[in-house]
Amino acid sequence: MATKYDAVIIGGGHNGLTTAAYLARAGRKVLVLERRHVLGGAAVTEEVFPGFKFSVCSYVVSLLRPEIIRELDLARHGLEILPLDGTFTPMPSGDYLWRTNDHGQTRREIARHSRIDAEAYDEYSQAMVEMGRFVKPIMAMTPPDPTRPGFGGLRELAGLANRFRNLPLRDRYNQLQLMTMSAVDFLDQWFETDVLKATMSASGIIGTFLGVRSPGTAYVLLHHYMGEIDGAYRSWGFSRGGTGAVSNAIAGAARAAGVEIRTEAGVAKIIVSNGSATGVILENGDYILADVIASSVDPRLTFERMTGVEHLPDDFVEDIRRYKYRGSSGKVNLALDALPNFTAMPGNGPHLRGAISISPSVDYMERAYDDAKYGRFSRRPYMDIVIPSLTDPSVAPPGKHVMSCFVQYAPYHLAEGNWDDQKDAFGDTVINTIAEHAPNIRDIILHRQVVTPLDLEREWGLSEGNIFQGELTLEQLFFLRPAPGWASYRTPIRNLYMCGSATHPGGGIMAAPGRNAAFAILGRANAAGPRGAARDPWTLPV
Amino acid sequence: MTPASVDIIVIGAGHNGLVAAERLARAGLSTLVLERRSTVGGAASNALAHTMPPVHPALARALTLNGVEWMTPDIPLTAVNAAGKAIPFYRDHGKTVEALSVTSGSDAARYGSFVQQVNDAVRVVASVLEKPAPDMDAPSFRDVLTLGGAARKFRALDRRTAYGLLRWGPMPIADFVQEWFGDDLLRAAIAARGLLGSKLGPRSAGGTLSYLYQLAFDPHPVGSGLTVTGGISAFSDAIAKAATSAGATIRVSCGVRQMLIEGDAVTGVSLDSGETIACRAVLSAVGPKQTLLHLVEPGIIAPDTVTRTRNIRAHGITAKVNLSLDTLPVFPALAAHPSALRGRIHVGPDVDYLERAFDASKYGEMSTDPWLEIAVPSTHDGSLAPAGKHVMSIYAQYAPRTLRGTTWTAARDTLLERVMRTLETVAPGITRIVVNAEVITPEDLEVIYGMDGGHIHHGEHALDQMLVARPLLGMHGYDSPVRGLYLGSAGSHPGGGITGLPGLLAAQHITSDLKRR
Repeated sequence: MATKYDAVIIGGGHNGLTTAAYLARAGRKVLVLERRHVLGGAAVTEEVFPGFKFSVCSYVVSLLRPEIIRELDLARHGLEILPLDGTFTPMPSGDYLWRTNDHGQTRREIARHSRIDAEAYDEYSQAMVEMGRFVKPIMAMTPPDPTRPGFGGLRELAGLANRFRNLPLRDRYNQLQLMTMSAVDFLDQWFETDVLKATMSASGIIGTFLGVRSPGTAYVLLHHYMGEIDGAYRSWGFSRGGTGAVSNAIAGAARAAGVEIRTEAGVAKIIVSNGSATGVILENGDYILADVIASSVDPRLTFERMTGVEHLPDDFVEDIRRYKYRGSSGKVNLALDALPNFTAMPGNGPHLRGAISISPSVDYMERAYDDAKYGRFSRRPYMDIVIPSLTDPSVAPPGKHVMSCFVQYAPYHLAEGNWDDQKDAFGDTVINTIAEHAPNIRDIILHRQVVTPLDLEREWGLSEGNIFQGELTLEQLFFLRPAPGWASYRTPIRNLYMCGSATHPGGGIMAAPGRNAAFAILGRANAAGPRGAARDPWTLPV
Repeated sequence: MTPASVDIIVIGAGHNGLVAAERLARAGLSTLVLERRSTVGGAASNALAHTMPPVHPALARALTLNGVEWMTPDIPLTAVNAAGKAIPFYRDHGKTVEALSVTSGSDAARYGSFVQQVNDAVRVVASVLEKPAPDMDAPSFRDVLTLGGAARKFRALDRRTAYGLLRWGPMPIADFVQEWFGDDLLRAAIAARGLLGSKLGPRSAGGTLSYLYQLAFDPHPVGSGLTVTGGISAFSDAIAKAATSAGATIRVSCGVRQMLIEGDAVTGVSLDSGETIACRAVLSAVGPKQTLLHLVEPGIIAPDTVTRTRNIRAHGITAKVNLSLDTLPVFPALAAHPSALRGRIHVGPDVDYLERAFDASKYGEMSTDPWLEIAVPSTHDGSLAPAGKHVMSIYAQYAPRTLRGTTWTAARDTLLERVMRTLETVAPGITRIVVNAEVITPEDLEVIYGMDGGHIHHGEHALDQMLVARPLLGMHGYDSPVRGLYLGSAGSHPGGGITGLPGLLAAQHITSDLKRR
């Protein structure tokens, strides 16, 4: 039986659902197909152990575009963001660095390490906010093609250049450095405290196969100043019910707009005839026709697995094969009987309610990276740990807790052995590392879930375990994402679109790719609001 | 005798200073070059350099160099490893392909299109590098022409190459060579060219940009290995002669202590000897950091500019070792390529080896196993050593300017030991024929040669330190915050390497500037 849809979306992650919701709101008949039994992709909550709800993969929310929250009315569909306050970095010396959202308090804390740094911190924060303002509108644009400067492309590039020129010299200087330098080199110019630089620079390497001293990592520092929740810069949060609640809210909005969603409906093949996508065949053999197919899975799955390279131009195939994934991180989720007790700051204080960063020094971070370069997981990894049950008790049984540990580096390609053999050793390394700072951890673990890069690939369909569907490095960003000449959400196959993290502006729970793609499909230039609110591509609908 | 007043003083008789002096004197300005050391040439000398890129057409048009005998080897570079493998890179690409087809057939097939595509792309880069950096804020007519020319060249590229250029710039060189080639040694030899002198490992983003920069001045994939009879010093001497015959005066052993500044303008310089010389303008051909932070009295330049100048990334990473040898060294891997020693030898078997060498430098240590670029110039130039004897010139990387927990004075011997140990892997027995060894550490490069941070390019060739951002955003076009003080060293656009272009472009700028005044 063949039903015909206006659009079929492959993948029910937050981007696929977003594209679906926008298309449906524009009156299209849309079907979302999700291979797993649960929606959300990597933005998912799963009750892995009875009573314990893990944000299995992605674990904090910040970059979710405010216009999407507003336009899809996500609050009405159950989205509630709870604040995540601060970052606590324990140090082997017994000291710590604890930054919170209270600027004055953070300044005093930094002054405890260095007065000069405390002064610089104000200046730095201000500069970064300015920079964030410059960069944000780029998120909502369809990248122009610089080799084909048609009228629109030229105008947009000129507009970008013009905005850059109008920045004060100081900001232009910072911007240039941010785009090219390593996070540590950039921070070296502002700060002297090692642990501060190590912790701040960590954001530059998340999900990449780079170290904090690798050029190109400074840019991501900005993301911390672009996160917006309820309009406030720099706030990160949990969504109530876990990260999956974000996806569920978007799914709710999509359903309300008439989208049909099927889970356990993996796509085996995209049907191409005469250079045009006409439908999909499911793993169970079902055949679904559609005018438009939008794939939110990565290019390897979309083109090499589902489309078939025989339908694609050689150059494009070469580019898709060259696109770099190289997953570098894993996840360890713990069900706890009690709270961890950190030697550096004992007790159940508010420091446990924010992020706990295992990043005691720049050298520690670099050595963690060095291991990965030669094909083994870090002997002492960098970790970003959160305990969401402290903020949102609904995710654990009373008195119990869930602890989410994002771990880097865990290279997909191991020099020796394979991830199935190494999985337990990896989990042990993570626990041992935590135990160095919170010795009671071993006694309070009830259950442990280890997610390796190989698991991310097999279970969540992220090739090579890359959490961003491909590295966020300069040569894979903007008009080069996912392939040169194909950054417009279109593909060489007519009516086949891309709408996932492998497209501009990339990974993270932003949903911007999903929204931008919907507008591309609807034939609207750039992300002018769905009701035509803004004509100028640089102004986001307010 | 030096007159008490001249039109322009050039600080530093490195090749950029000398090129500028020739141009300025030729334009009718009374020009005085002041060099702290006892010889001219700076880093463009036999002690520090064994090859140079071909003389840039713009420089060739401007300067007449007499008595310079060029030598281009048939095999500019041969990569060797301890197992006795050799990959010769010929001047004639066809021969390289032939040689590669023996060791790595698929690489042989790709080498031709590699040369073609990369050279096409590099022409766009070169067109921007050989002219003054266009000012994006207030483009002059000339800037528009430069940009327009580059844009036209960019558009003329086929789309693959155009996109290649955009993608390659920010890429780590490890990824770049991996896209093209399969052979470890081949990859390492090409990657090394992008890394020489840069504080980058093969996996550091931006290494490809550094490589493209080198190619812009010398489009051979591993460099054409051009040398001069008498060594690179002979090239500098020839420029010095040209400058003198144009009317410039060169004083050596004559260090500048400070600029004399009245109001916001330069009026002269004071020398280490206490002497002062008045002038209308000063061109500093030493690095921007040294110039602005040491030669200009504190308090004159705005604090923000001082901070940004301090933050110019110039952390030397390369050491130089010069050996005198009793006999010709024997590299077993070169048995089948007798003329290879007329070119350079690359030692560093694979990209991971280069990366491990780099790792040490991140923690303030020199590489346990450094990679080397070697030349034995006496094989083709009898003037450099007594009959039967030889000189060997070696770049060793990585040797960070600042060592953790020790000093270069203490670590000098360790560096030599590690270089010799690495050499022994490809030229067994070489230690026994060493008569004399000179080690030039990054500290020496800074202290003796006066190079900013001991960095052979006076600052990294990275996107944030190129074009309008070299030496600093808001301070390009060879002007400085002090009126009448101009900057024209490798720290200015287009950057390092023995190109003479910073000096040439600075001189052109000054000439037209002084006419206007």
